[in-house]
Amino acid sequence: MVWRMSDTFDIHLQELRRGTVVLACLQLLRAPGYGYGLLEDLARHGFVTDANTLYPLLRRLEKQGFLTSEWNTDEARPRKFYRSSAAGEQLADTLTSEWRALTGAIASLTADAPTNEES
Amino acid sequence: MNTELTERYLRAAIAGLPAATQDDVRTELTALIMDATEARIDQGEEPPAAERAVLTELGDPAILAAEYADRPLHLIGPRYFLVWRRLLKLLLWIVPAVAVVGVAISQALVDAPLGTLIGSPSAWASAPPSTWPSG
Repeated sequence: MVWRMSDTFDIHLQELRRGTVVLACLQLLRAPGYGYGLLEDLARHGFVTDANTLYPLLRRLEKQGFLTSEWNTDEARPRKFYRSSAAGEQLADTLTSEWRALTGAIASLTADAPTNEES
Repeated sequence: MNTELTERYLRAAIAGLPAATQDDVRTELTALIMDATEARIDQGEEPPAAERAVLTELGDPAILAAEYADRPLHLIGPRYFLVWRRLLKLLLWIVPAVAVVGVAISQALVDAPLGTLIGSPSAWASAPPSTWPSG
């Protein structure tokens, strides 16, 4: 396997994005949502994720108590709908404030960053 | 009704999960696969090709099963890897050393050349009792 510069970039990009999908799910699921629809909503908002990452993630978040689930039997095909629990909404708020703090911190870095002329 | 391909996929994806969870995951995944397949059919794909594309996109069902079961996909994780490696290196010279000592001891007892001892099973069977050290 040839190691290209873009591969290392991809890894770091993936690391940066990893936590944001959890926050995005918790926010989007303040209203009840269905896995497949959620995948499209996330993509529309710019959160890149695969089905095989998202579906187990939703289960894990439910197991941790941040989501509740309900079977929708309106149609012949039962579908599992998820929704953020109270704890989930609290976590979403906490993660969002942390995100804002980090955004400010990074902005301050680029503001103070030494330019080439100063070195 | 699920096709055979989807059935096989589902069975692989729920493998290893506790029984109650299996039914739950199976029902959930069935709906997700069906909906994704129908969306592709609506966009003009042939049903078998659409189904195949959806399942390929979902990926290796064994990996999915591991994710659902929260099973780590490695044997020795980073936490114990160095300990395991040190132990392995240690054993890599202790075990042969013990084996050599063991063979040397049995050689001394039977008083036969080392080569024949290791080489012929009959050396063990036919070692004459008189060669055993007395006393």
